[in-house]
Amino acid sequence: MSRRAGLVAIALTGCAAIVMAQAPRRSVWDSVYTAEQGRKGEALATAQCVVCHGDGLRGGESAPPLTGDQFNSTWEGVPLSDLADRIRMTMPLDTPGTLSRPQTAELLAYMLSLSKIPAGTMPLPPDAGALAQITYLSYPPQP
Amino acid sequence: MTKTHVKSVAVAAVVATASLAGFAQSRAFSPGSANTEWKTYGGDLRSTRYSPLAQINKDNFSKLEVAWRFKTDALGPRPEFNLQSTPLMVGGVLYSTGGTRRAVVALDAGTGEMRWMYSLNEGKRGESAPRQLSGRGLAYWTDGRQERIVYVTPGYQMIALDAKTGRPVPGFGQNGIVDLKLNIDQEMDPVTGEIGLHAAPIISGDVVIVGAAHLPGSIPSRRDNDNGYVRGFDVRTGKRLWIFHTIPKPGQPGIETWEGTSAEQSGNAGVWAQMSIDEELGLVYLPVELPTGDYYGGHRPGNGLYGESIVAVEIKTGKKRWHYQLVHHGIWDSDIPCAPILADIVVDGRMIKALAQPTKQGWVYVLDRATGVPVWPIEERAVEASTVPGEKASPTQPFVTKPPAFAKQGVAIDDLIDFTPALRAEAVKLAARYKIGPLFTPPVASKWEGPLATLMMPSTTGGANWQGGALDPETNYLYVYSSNQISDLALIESDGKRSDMRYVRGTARNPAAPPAALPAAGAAGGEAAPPVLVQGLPLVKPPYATISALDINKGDLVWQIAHGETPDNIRNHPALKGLTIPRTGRIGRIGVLATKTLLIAGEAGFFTTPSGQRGAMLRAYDKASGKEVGEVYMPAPQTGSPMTYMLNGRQYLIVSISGGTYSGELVAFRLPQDATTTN
Repeated sequence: MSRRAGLVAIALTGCAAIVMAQAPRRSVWDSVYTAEQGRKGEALATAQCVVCHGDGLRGGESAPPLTGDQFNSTWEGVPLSDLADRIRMTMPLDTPGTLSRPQTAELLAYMLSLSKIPAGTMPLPPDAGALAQITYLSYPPQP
Repeated sequence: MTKTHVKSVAVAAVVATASLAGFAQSRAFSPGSANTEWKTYGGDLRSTRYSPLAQINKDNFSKLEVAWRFKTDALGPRPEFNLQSTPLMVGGVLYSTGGTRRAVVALDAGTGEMRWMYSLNEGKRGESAPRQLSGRGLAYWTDGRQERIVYVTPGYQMIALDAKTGRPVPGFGQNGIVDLKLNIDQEMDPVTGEIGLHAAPIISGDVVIVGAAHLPGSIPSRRDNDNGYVRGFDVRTGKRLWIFHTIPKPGQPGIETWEGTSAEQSGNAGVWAQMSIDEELGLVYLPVELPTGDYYGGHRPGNGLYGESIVAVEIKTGKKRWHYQLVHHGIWDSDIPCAPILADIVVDGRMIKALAQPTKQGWVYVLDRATGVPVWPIEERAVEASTVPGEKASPTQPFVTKPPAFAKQGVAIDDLIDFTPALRAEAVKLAARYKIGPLFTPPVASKWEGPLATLMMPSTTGGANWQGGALDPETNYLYVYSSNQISDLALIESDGKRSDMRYVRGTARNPAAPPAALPAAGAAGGEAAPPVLVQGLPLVKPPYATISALDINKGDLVWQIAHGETPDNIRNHPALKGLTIPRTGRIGRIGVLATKTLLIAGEAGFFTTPSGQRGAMLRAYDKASGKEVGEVYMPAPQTGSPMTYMLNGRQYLIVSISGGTYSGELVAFRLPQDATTTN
């Protein structure tokens, strides 16, 4: 490959990367998780989360709700990757860092199901890059 | 009456007024006028959260700029996102807890530079603690020669540090540490014993007083959970001086309020909130939570003293002087969540040493703090009986007649969202699946066909909560932040695996829902109840969060405002397009600060500012009217109650902020140099 052709290839690769980065963002209302993930997430939450966050993750005395008004006020418009990172790094309080990325995605799926956000056929991806493309919204966006 | 008589009566009235004013005045300035420090969690032992400082005022508040920031990430093994600290400032040094392991730091109060840091790695004991993270604060003690910082670790150990060096004080307990799981009048596992404390200890003279907290009690694993007794210790040696049994032992007064052996078979009843102290009366005021089982009392029949009671005990002996139960046989988690605020009030010309207790249920209970007698009538009124099997709810509850409630109490159709007729109709349809009613409507055993739950307001977390309120001792106006939020409160039969209670908090599932697949192990399966939201909007009408001013000389509500700009999810909601929505307030746990000139409080949650920044505002209000007089941007919500001090001629405001993806940070605000000289 000539030096010039190499430069062109690099430039084209760069363009492709930019195009990928600018892929249209989705919201949680675009059927981004499966019901099965939600059920697995519920089992995890029952074992590890409800003791502090309460039944249905409605919030406890010293742990915030993970659904509802207060949750929406904090996380509206935020990419799911941020929420996943927060869970992965800090929870559960007694053994933080022990949840795998797929488990974290299952918990997110459960949280979405609690808000009656519809499930679909494609599972919520566990990797941060893909989650970064999905925005949390508490209501369906208008077309 | 002759003219002479009239004149003499008038003179007498003037004299009386003057003496009353003098009474209020002498009280008003005793805590803070001699210095400009902040020596206790609540600003003073009376928990007024008041400072006489006046440099920051309505004309310059919006000019505040960040003096320094202190990030707490590296104080523990991982960042913390819920920093609740109110620091202390003594002698130019700021002391705070911070970090996931609850370290203590001493910072230069002018620059934020760290002088020392102390952290104890408690291993498994800390990891299994019921109240983790950085806690709310610490206590300062001096005898004029030694200076100590005293705090409680997540693993429930009380540590005394040398305030100058940060080193544990050798003569206190064992090498500076008192193991609070010992000498507590019950057997307790040193590692897994379910007890801890978020609150700061409180110190009077040479006595340090410590409460107790447990895991939230909606699904308690054991009905005979550990007891949350309150103890006094010698601050010099760490030796236990006394213990107060918040659930009486056999033979002790109050045991008659427990049927059968239920007292011995119940736990909790801790004091997880801050306490207050009247040093002249020699009393410490304990705001007690309810016994085990936040929503089901079937295993503890009776009114259950001292659950949900304010108890006044002697600082030096722990001997009870009086008690007043705010809720009998609690089944709504009406834990008394914050410090009672001590105020010297004048009611109909009579001077009263009073105590004002903000609560989750939306009332401020005003009592004579020497006797425990209500200042205004608190009436026993009949309330609805429970239908949950085994539950014997109290037939009456105490109702405060004055001052008016600062939060919405109970749920009626008129309380439901009404931005549009369609939203109201949807709300009414949703509410039809639930039981609604006034305050003290009992929880129900949940049924899918209805009622799914009792809609409860204030919610199970209030109303007020741990952040409490503030008091201006010059006017006896009490300020309190509160949320108007609905809880769907219901019980389900326990499966015996997670709890040995007969009923625990939970909501019925749709038994007829065809499972798309077998439920995962541990999950309930079936269709869950809907969230109590209408198209993602709160079921209840705004305001969602308020600050109220109560005149506790008169027992009146003076003003109430929504606190917090409308959140994005409501401002941008498609169903509300074209509507003008007044500021709704935002829900959180917001402590307020009263100064000579202002009432100050940061916002909860996030919103997007007009300039496109995501964050929250620190707001200042006129104390007399509630009118907003200034605002300053913060990158994250307030999560710890603010405090203030003066150093080298400049007033500082410190706020703990965190939340969402923003980790814990202390932010210090002050005026630009030129602004301090022109005002």
